Amino acid sequence: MKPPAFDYYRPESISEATSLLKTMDDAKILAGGQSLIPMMNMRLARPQALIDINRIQALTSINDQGESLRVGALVRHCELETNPLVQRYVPLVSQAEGFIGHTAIRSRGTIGGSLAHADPAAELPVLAVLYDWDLIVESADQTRTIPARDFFLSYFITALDPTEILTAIDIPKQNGRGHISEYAIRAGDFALAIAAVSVRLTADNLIDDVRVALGGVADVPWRDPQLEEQWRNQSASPDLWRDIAHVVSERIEPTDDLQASAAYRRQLAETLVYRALQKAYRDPDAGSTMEGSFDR
Amino acid sequence: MPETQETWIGRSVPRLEDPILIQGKGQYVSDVHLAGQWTMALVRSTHAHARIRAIHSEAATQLPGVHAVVTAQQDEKLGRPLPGMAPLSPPALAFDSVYYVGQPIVAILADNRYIAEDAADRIEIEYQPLPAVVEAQEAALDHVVLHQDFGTNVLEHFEYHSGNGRAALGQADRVITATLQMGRVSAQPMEPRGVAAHWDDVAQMLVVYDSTQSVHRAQERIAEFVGLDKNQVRVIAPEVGGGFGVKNGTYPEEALVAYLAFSLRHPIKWTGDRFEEFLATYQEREQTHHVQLGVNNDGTIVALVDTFYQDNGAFPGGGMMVAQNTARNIPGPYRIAHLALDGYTVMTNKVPQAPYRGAGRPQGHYIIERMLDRAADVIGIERIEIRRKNLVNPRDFPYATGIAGVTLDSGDYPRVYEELLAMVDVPAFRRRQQQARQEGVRLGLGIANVVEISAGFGFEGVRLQLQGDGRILMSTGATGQGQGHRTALAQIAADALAVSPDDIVVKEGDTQDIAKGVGTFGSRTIIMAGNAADRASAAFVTKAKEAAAQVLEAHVDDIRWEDGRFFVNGVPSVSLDWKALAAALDQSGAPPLRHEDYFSSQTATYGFGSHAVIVRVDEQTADIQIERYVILHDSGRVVNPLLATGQVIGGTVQGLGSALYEELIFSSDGQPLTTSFLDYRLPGAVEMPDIEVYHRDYPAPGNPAGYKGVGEAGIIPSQAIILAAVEDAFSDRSLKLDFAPITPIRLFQQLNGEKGGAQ
Repeated sequence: MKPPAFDYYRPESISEATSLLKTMDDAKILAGGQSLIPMMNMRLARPQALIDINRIQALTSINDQGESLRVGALVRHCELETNPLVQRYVPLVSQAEGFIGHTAIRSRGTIGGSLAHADPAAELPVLAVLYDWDLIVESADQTRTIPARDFFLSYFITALDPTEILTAIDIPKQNGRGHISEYAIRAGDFALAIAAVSVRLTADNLIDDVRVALGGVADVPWRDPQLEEQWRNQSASPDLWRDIAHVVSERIEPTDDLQASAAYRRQLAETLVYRALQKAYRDPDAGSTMEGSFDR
Repeated sequence: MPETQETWIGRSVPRLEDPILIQGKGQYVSDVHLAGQWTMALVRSTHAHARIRAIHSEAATQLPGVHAVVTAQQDEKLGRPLPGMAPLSPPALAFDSVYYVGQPIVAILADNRYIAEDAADRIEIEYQPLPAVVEAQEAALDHVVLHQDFGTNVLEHFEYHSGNGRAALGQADRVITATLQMGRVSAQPMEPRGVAAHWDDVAQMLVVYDSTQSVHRAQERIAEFVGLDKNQVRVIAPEVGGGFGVKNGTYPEEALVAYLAFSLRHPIKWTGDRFEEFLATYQEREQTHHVQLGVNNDGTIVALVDTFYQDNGAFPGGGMMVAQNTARNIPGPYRIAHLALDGYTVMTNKVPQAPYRGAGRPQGHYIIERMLDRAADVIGIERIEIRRKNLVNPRDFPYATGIAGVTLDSGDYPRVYEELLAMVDVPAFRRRQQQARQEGVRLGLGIANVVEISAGFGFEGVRLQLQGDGRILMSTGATGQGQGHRTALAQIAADALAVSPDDIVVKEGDTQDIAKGVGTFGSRTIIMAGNAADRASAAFVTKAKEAAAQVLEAHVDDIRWEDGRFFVNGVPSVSLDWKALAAALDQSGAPPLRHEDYFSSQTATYGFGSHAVIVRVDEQTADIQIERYVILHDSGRVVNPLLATGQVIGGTVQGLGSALYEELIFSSDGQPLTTSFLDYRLPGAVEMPDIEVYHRDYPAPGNPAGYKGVGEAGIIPSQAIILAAVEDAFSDRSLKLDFAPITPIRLFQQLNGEKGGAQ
């Protein structure tokens, strides 16, 4: 479990990093290293070079832009968990952080790393899709914005070009009630399924906007905005949540693996979506529920 | 010793070893850095069963920093079978065939592990794949025979029989039949295995640092394989970070490092990593039982008949003991008049098996406890009632279970069982369970009784020596792996020598310090080394009196030993303590004061206990949480309650892992699919409840000090009790669980009638 030799660069600026990337064929960005380094140790990833962006100060800030927060790609999980702006404007992000690995992992891992790694069973990609985050990516030649729903292509594959770096994320401020429920076998494990929901109601308790995003049930974070449209203007009630959960669970196409069968994942999805919607509706401040954990 | 005198034994003395360990100053094999050492890395088989056609190692040899690429083709001595694994032993390096994924084929010696792994990448091995056999019962049919010379995959078949055996089933009102299984598990000590060795030219000695549970047995194996006399091999186990049984036997890596360090006259070191721990460290538990339990309508057991298969992997590994021990444990603490047990130890194309904490005790108890649950359900009596009906009564002691050498001797099983039931308050729980069920929450109760059979063979010794500073050095071959021997053995000697435990320096794990030793495994050390410490201390005091007599110029009969001082009768003003005696001996021509003593016993000890667990199951997510875990436990005479309770809790947690999470899964062609902690889940602090342990200690009648084993107590009932509790949570649906662990996916599949496609 030792990596093969690789070249190591530590640029001080984004432009230095992007010009390095431009000249190299097989370089990987090193941010928190919580997925990349184990993969290199197992020799499953063998990049020729690592570009360590940990010294680039410009990637570490969180700024209030009015409608959204702009979060630097190098912001650590623990920062997202505790930052007052994040807690105030996108509380679901803070609340979901408690599900991500363990404290040691959260003190190193970054938002950019999590999104660029694109594990479909990770929490932040699910929230990115739920709230339509915009991902800002830069190369030596251009800067562009990729909407989250176009960013994730398949397991561990994104729309990032090999010359591009994810530099920041625009996270729209939450408007409505959100909740994330997940089931992992042990605390800190990758979830078998994640359900993140957002509900906005009209004054007379009708659905103004409902969104459902799922993790762990497909090769990318799952969401179907067209499907969501059909519930607009319906009366909010547990029956509706049950209906939504059932329809969603029929729509997804999970696969079998060692930890869960497709049928089990489908049942988890239905259960978690229902519980998340019900929690968001009844207890808007709860934010997140780890199924299984309870106070002893 | 009068009852009123304060003793060190029985006190929760904090571990003397902790200050060093918790500051990170403990020295493990990987902290041993031999000048100029070469690191060994291994190329391991990627096939479960294959013939090796060719090994291409040129590209690896040419890599800068690589000193040797070693195969058994080049050095035939590495193709010899390893010592200590009768009747069928693998070669140190495979050369014609491989029998499991992970079997070593090529050893690379390089400047460091990075280069060694680069070299390993460059080695190409041509395989001719052969059909792999991965299921023990199928392997027993011998359609594919792994080892042609041995002629069969059945390593051992034995039958235990008592009373009228199988025929007695006919006398029972009912016969309950079940097929019960346990998955394969891995011990995963925090410190993986490791070995470092160098030839000391000055001392003409091979010095081996070995993360092992028994330095003396390692010394014998290494001497035999390398071809040296035993006294030319010194084995040192530095700090060992967990063993659990799997650091106790013959391994290729130990032989390779020792042999290569000697033959190349160069220091060699191998530190196994976590991946190798999954691929190559021996595994355990995996069994399939076909059981019939004959019972009468009142719940009385008439007979138990069981044919079972132990999946032993590709070689004997730790031997045939686990299957035998399974059979010995099947009666547990219950009266079973008629037994017929038929055990098969079968070889498959998987990592070999070796005793892992419990080593047959959990398997045996799993069978009887699960069958009692099944029988109670069928007859229609409470599961707690059928146990009441069949527990061995203290008036029956000594009670021969019907299995040779197993005679229960002490305690009060029914009394402790009733105490446990009262503590759990079963009627109150039943009410709460009903109420919760109406609210959509499923609670379940599991109960099990345990007998922990420990020691009963071999010997162990200690060597005492008065040091110049007046402290007493105690050496033992009972190499610990974190149990706290340095504290517990010091407490025993402190009482016998009338000093503080701080004045006893316990040294474990160096063949140079004591001539013989068996090692630490099977919960034996306090029983064996503890009694040896008592014996040795008594003899040591006698010798000390003789020495004091010389120093004080008195007749030995006039020397009185009191409160740790040596007095001359009638001269109260003159006395020596240990320190003064040491100083006087240092200056005189008298020999140093030392004594070595051994304790041998063929009498096992029989600790017992009653466990209860309450689980809370989420029917929708199939999640199982432990709400409460209560243990009443007998550890005989307890030296240090802090350590004993820690052992019980640690064992319980480890057992809950194999009941709820841990399972090594292999594909149908023998590929291991769970080779990291991502897929193989150990129980974490968050998942584990606060385990309540209450001691109900009955001194062992079978050894002078009354000690019993405690290391395996906690792990014994885990799989049985958790499955029982989960079934109880779904008693309205007659859920039947026949496989441990009960992972979420397995529970989902059981509840939904889905076949185990995803395992």
